[in-house]
Amino acid sequence: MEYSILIVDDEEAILKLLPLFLAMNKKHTFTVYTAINGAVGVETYTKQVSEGKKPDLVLMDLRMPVMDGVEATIRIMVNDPEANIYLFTAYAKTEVEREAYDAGAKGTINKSADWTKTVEEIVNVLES
Amino acid sequence: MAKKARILIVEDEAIVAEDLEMAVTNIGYEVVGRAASAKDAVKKALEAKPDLVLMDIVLRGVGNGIDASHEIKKKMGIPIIFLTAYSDIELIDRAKSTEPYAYLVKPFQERQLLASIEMALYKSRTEEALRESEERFRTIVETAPSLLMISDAEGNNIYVSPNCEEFTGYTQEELQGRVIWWVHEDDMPKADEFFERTFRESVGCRDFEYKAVKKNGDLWYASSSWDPLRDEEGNFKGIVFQTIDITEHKRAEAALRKSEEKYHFLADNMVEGVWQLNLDFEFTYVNPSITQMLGFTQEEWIGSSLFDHCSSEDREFILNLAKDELKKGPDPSGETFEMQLLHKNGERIDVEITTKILFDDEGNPVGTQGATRDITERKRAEEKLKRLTLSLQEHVKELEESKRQTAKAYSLREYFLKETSHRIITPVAIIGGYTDLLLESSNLDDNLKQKLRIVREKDAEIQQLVNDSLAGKYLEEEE
Repeated sequence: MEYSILIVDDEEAILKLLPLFLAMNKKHTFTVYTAINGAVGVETYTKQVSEGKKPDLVLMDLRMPVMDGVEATIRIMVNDPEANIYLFTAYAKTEVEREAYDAGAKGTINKSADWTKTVEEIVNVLES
Repeated sequence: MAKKARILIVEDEAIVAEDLEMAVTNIGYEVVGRAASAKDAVKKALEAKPDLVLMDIVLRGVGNGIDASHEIKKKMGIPIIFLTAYSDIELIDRAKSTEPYAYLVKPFQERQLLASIEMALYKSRTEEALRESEERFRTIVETAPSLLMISDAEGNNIYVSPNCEEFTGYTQEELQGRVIWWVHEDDMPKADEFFERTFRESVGCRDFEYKAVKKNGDLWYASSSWDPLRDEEGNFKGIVFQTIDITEHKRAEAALRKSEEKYHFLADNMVEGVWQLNLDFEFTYVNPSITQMLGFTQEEWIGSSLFDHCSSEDREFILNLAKDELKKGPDPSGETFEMQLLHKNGERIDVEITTKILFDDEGNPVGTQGATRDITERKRAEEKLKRLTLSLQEHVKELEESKRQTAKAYSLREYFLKETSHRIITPVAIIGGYTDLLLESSNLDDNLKQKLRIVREKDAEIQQLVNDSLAGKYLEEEE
């Protein structure tokens, strides 16, 4: 299968690492769009939708400069209520996480030192 | 005279008989028959039932007038007047045995005859009345429930009612001997003293109660009363004794006394104050406990008013309560309430009172009884408990506040921990990712790969630590 993923994170290393590990997956091929903060994420998502290339999954960090993950989630959901947004963060039941769920985020994929595991989680979400 | 008296004439000499009949008729009596012999006299007397017989002592044939009189007396109680000649004077002594009413010595005059007949009839009627009265008296005595005895001046019983024999088992003869045969030896000295005084001073006695014993040895309790008997001149002639059986009464009395003693024992030894009031709210009984409670002596309590012992507000309360209770009528539950009573030293004592109005068998109120508990200690304890409860509530409040502060502190710490952990997880993920990428590449020697694996292991350890702390594990452990 071929999937498209938009990853929104203020850490450049994360944006670089995820495509590398996704590429190691033998079952699927991934097109990865990246955004350095929430504002860029919303802009990218909108652009993809207008080009008819809506991402199958959005991985959204919560704490970011310019626009945080909760606001970005809200803005994307307002434009596209069908958006498939998962939080990409450390495991924690925080207030912010709850706000993002309220805004429409469907779940959380935990950031981990073990990227193979992270990729497995992503594949599970996409296949379900 | 309401009715002509009917007279039988017994005279063997016809002429004398004729004269007599004429004389009797002349003075206004009716002659119902004449007899000339003793045998005929008895027969005619029985047939004609005369009111009086005029009897000649000397008669012809078998038996004389005295014999005939004996025969008639045996069968009927009619008066007989003997007629005799002066020469028969020795016969008169014999005639006395027949209790004749009069003798007329021949020859006699009509007015003598009239006087004798009238006297005899009068005497006879009086005796009849006396006999009837005695009969009535006897009936009364012998059907009365009390044991009756009459003694002479020496103390010998001359009359013993039949129920004495029935009740005590002693025969009339046994009881004849002395005044009260059945007194038990325990009470004999006292009885002797009473009897001696009665005989010495000829005074009566009322309700002398004593222990008595029946012939079969059974004990019973008796109450005797007696009065002296006097003749018309006031001379002491004897005593009339009346005795009743009071065994049941004594038994009931003893039972009552026992139950009263028990009640008094209880009341006297109770910690609670026990008392009784009459309808004027005056104390008629208090137990020792109440004197200790409130300082007044038992003598000071008795006759004092309840209102001398309480405040005027409580007086109103009590009067209203009494009114309500009286309306309820006999009610076994009574009423319990708290009030204050005044100690002799002026102090007010907190008490709890349980009270009940007493009613007689007809349902009329007769007084009030109740129990009083000193609840000063209880009040004090309640006060203390209240204070303790208040201070406990204060304490709880403080604790809650401190808990809130702690919780606040915790949540700050939690926030800090989570925030930090969150920020660490991204670099940890990056280090892990790059280490894995390097380990994948083939151009590194084993020595270097070994060192990279250690980096990767340590990175995983950090991740574990961070995950644990994010899960609140350390916070919980600290709590």
